[in-house]
Amino acid sequence: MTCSFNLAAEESDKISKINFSDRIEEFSLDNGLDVILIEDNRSDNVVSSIWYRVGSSYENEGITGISHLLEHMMFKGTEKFSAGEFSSAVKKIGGTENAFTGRDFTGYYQKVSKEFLSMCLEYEADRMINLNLTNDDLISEREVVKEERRLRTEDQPISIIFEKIGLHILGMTDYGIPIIGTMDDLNNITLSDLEDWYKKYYKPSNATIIISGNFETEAVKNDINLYFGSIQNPEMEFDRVSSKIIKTSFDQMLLREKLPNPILILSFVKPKFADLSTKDAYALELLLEIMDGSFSSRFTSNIIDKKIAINTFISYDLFSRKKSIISIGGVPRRDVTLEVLKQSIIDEFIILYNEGLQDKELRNTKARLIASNIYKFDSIFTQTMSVGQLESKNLSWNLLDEYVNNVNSVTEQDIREVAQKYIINNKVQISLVEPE
Amino acid sequence: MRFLLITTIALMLSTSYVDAFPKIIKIKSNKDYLLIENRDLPIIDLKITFDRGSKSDGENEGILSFSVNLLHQQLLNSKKVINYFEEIGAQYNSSVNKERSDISLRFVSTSDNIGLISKKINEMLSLNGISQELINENKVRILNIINRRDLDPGRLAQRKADEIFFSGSGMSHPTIGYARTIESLDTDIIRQTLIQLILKSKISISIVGDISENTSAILISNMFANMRRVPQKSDSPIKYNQLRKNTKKIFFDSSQTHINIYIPAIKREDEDFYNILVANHIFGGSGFGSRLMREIREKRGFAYSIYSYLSMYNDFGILKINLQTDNRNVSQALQIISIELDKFKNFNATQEEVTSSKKSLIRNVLTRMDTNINTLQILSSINNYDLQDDYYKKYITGIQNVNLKSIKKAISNKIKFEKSLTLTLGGR
Repeated sequence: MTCSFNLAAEESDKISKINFSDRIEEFSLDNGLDVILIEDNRSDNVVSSIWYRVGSSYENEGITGISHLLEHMMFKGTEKFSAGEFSSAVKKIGGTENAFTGRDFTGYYQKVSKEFLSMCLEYEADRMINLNLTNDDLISEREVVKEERRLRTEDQPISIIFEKIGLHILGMTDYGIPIIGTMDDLNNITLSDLEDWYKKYYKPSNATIIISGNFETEAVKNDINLYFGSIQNPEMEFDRVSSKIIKTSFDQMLLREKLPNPILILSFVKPKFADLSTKDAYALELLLEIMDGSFSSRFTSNIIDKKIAINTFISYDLFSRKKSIISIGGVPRRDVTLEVLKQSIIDEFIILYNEGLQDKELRNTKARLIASNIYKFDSIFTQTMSVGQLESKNLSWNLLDEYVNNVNSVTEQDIREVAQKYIINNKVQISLVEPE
Repeated sequence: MRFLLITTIALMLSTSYVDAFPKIIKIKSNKDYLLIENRDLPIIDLKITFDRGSKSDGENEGILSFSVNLLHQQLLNSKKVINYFEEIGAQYNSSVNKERSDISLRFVSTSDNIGLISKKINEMLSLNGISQELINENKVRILNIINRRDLDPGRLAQRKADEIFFSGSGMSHPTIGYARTIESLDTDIIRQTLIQLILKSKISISIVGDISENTSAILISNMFANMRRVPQKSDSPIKYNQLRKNTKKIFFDSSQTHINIYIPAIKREDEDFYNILVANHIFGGSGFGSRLMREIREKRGFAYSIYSYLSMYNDFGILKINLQTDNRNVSQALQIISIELDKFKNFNATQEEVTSSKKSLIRNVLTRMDTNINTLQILSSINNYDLQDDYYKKYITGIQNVNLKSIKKAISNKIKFEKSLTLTLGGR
């Protein structure tokens, strides 16, 4: 357990000892269920989680949002545990539980004191195969999800904009599909759709259990074997391939939304992580951090402080399982046009490519990324999420331990090259948003 | 059977619970400087809290939040303060609420970093980099945030509810202020506000992480070196007794209507704090399984998020209920809440519900203290409410002493249902 440190050790030694590999154990059961145990004895808590390799990128038009809707339905109980019974038990012991759906995964977790871990595993195993799916529950839970969509998307102009851009560039497939689904599809998903989805994806061979925190390894292994070992993988194969042609476009979009100021968004397509070289992947991470990762970044100094924009942003998913979008943009100052802001943003990448980095810029940026990496170890929940997200994308948790070395290996030339390859010479889609 | 066993275990554990909490050290015996030492990770989390919040803004509504926001943007030798922090990977945050202002930092615990952080905080609090240019730039940014806020139905509903509920007091305006008040701020008044905050307010400091008491004392001493601090008493109590039952409907073009209900309740130091805490846990403060969640979301699918919580200030507190629902469901949702509030008034909970909630609240505190960040948050609350001595013991005993009868009495005496505000904002 390298999360505990020797007080007498040197500071640098202390920092370099923070990793996963010395305290992680992974194995698979005969039925294909993957298990990852992450030991961290800083408290008596444990996070028990299960990750299914299914999310919105597995869906297609007609059933968008089904992974997320099923996540909600997973709390409706089984024959053994009535709806709310397990949540009530977790609450009573001071624990917390929740679930989440992403593009590549649907996950469930409980954070409890270690003596209650076994109870959580028993429950997860039960709802993996014995979920009660009923029409009555679907009718009310569908409304809850529609309320969630209204709250987070329909009444949030920024969310609407990014949903539209995703559909425009990637189409109603893979990472273009909104995680929460369209309102039409939410209205049309049937109980039979949910049953099929559940049978196809909720099985041991499509799941990973990740447990982090304070636990007795042998006891946990016994419990996992006891509760999950006998679960068979149902023979349920179906393919709901949409017959519709996926429409995509890089044409400029002009949007009108209820916003106080115009917004410019430049979108670039980034290959999936598996198709990036290690050098490119981490150089891109550093490039985007240098541009807009902090108050010390170039966009702040050269675009905000020079009165071109009120704010700027960059969003992207380094570890994406499919091709994804790098979004770069900002809100121009009142006397600045969207065209001027666009050119200023592009110019920043061109200047970096032509002139390279400034004194200490690379060193300081690496320091920020490496420190942020250390902070992740403060929380067993964050550790679980970091490992789970990678594993669900068929990537290894080893990438987390390799992160510091990979970041440290990036050179100025690497950064200049990715600036050229993924931004300057890459196809750009421009979205201009005007206030309604 | 399994759950019965768990219940028994939970009971046994609660008795020896206090020992499981981390030890709170008063740094050099100062009750306002608290430390929880944790050497597991090379991280230090630090929070400085000033006992001045936006209720002291006076006519310049939003000035304190605006001014605190300038601190890290000051130029020191042509470089912003925040740049010095970020060069070592430190994360800086500041926030202002109605009664307090915070500055917090998280950084890797090398001795070089500790030295740099204390030096730069000292320079930052010396205010030598507050310039007209900085103020003008910040105005543009804050005005944009204000404009955006007023287009967000959830935030606008909360703003409107505060304005009505706290009408005529320093608590009514949004912390960030209004466009007209921000536009009129000048350098002198901002500088005066910051001087008052840094030199005249009471300061409490909370530290969690890889640092000793001695080093913490040096860090604090260096942060405030060469400052002549003369703390003065904070503002006079806020009066809100003029409020009567009130309903307000505001049209806003959105797909959902936001419902905010404010009911005058108790302050943190009230003797009935633990009674009301347990009651609220059952009513709407504990997520799934709470009365409100069950009736509004689980049974009817009327809302994604519905909860109640105790919002507590120095002089009083409020029981708040918050939800959002499709515009078509508003009247039904309000009717259900009204029925649940009537049940809450008479507190028809079972003994089993009370026992479960007590166990949950006791255990949850320790479960939450499993990261430095969460521990800092709890330590900071302990510090702000002057609850340093025997906090954990008092908390556990306080909850253990709650029973059905004491809750009923507390609700009857302390929750002023007849003075509630119900605000709805939405339409289309």
